[in-house]
Amino acid sequence: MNKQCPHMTSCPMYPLLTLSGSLKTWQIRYCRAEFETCERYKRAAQGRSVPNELMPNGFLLRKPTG
Amino acid sequence: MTYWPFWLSGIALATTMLVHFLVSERMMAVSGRFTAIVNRLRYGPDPEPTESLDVEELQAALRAATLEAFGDSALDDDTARDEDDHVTEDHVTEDHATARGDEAVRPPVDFVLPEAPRGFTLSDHLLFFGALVLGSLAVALWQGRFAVVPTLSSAHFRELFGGAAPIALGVGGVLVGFGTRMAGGCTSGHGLCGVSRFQSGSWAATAAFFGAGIATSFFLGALR
Repeated sequence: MNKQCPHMTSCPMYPLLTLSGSLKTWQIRYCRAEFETCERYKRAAQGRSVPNELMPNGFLLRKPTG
Repeated sequence: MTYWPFWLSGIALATTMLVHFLVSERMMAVSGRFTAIVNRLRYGPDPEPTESLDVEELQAALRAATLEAFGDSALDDDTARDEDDHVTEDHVTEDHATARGDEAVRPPVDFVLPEAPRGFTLSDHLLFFGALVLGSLAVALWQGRFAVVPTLSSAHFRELFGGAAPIALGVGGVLVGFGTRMAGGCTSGHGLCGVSRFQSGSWAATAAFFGAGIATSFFLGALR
């Protein structure tokens, strides 16, 4: 049975991770195979707020500096 | 003791929930605020919300995130490679490789990450709980029945537990807290917010805790 994150359809990051080859790499790992390791999933499971700009590995999407 | 008619209480409660949602863009849940305070103490404050990113900024941030997570190879996708077929390997420069990597994480021009509603701060939570206590106190004073008592006012409760009433209350409180955390919400979160939004889990949780409450009430009534 294929694993998939229970938050997949409601996650605001998910649509972004379906767009191109490299972004799909995120989806394959973090929305399906290893969704328990996704920082977004872990924060939600802990009852914490999940910033929209938080990537599944914990990286925050920010404006480039410099 | 006099209560409002059930329909008036229901309208007042619904209005309170709606006003809370319209003002804060979040559903009102009491136990969720306890969880938020505990999480704040346990994990520290949430990161500051970022300014909204335009497509180029989002693309650059995605590139950095992808590099960090998967390394260079993840940016070398098939789509980008197809577009680069006219470039022979001998002529691939560092700039070109970067451009190809950018292409691999390019979001559509109209894509924007949705803006998250403003989160509650610790002082917001404390203000809510303070207001909760003050509101109850105001009603008790208004009705002239304010009194500090170490147990529940129910004569049956005192009769059942006698001197152990504070222990029973303490154990009951722990069980309520444990069950609330296990169920991911309490009567306000599931019973008001979840049920009104037709969340199946909330319907199940509400049926379970009201069912258990009714059964317990019958059981204690039988002990009279």
